[in-house]
Amino acid sequence: MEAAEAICAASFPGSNGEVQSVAFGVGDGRHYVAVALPEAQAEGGKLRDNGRVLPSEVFVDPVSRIVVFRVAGPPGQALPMAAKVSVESAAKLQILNGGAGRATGWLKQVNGKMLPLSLLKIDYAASPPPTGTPLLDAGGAVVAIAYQASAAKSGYAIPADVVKRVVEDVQGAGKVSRGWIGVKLLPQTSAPQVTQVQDGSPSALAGIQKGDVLLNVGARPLADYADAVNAFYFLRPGVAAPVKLKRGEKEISVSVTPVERGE
Amino acid sequence: MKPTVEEIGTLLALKRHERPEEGFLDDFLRDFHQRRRAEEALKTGPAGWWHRLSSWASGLGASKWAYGAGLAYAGVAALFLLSPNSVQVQPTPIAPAMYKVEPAEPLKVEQLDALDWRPSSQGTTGEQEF
Repeated sequence: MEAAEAICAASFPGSNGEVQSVAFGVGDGRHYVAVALPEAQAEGGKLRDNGRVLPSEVFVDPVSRIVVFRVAGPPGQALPMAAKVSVESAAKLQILNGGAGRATGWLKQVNGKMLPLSLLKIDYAASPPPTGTPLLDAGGAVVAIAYQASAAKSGYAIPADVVKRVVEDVQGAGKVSRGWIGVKLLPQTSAPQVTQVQDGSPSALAGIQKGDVLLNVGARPLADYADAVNAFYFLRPGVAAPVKLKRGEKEISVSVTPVERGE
Repeated sequence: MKPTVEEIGTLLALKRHERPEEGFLDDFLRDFHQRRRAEEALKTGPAGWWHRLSSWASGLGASKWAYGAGLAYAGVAALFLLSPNSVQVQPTPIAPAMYKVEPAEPLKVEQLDALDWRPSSQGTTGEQEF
């Protein structure tokens, strides 16, 4: 069997026909990443290389709608992933078809709906590329994946660290899991303040208390509730995360080890 | 024509014989006192004031018209300021506060579980657990 190209195509069944996405190889070359838009049935996705369907296992992250295809054949080419994603690092983006773009900021909520993770806002030089298209930095590393167009020359993109988070789960545990630390927050509050700590939860064991204001979760500084939600997305079960918080006038650092979130 | 010394002497001789009628002096004194009282009354009453004002005004000459105009203007202004307001201002009835100050309802923010913000998709509100 021939190794697949770095860029493939994915298709998903949808209510109005097939929903397409670009797919690209990551990591060991046996994993391909695509994006299933909300109208697509992610679990029924197929990976195609030059028209032929590549036999693969399908893993879906229901939060980010990222789909990882694990191919059975020989490893293909993989694109390198950027180590860190920021608006600055995505200030000058190149697209494989020759287009260009630049990140202009973060999208945290849409029409009063808070997103479970923050997306990059991208301005393109021409039309937005198809969903799933990797957006590369000057060094050729993937900084983000095109998600949806928002206007004729702009759109939203999923940051590369979300892709890394999902792929690491799939490569490691063979599934996408979510971490749970047992804190409650109110979306209406401007500061990410803990409103409740579940008894016996990882947060309670780490000493987090009601009223604490979260300053950092993992390596991510938090300015508001949306930042906290975004940071929680990256918590992985069993992987300790440093948490910096403010209690009164004091700043306290603790370590929280999330457990797998039960549904 | 000047009278002669003889004529003056004759006249003086005639005057020496002239005498006022009986009671002339008493009548004269009574009239004198009546006139004096009448003049005093004129000086103290409104008529006296008016009399003196008219005398003062007549002494002013042409400038009395300027004084008159100024006085009339001051009078109209005083009337305007002192006259009671024709608009009846009804005092606002004092009513006890019957309303409660309700705290502003916080903005409704939905937390989405997935990247799906279509109008049909619904998230959850209130406290979120992580």
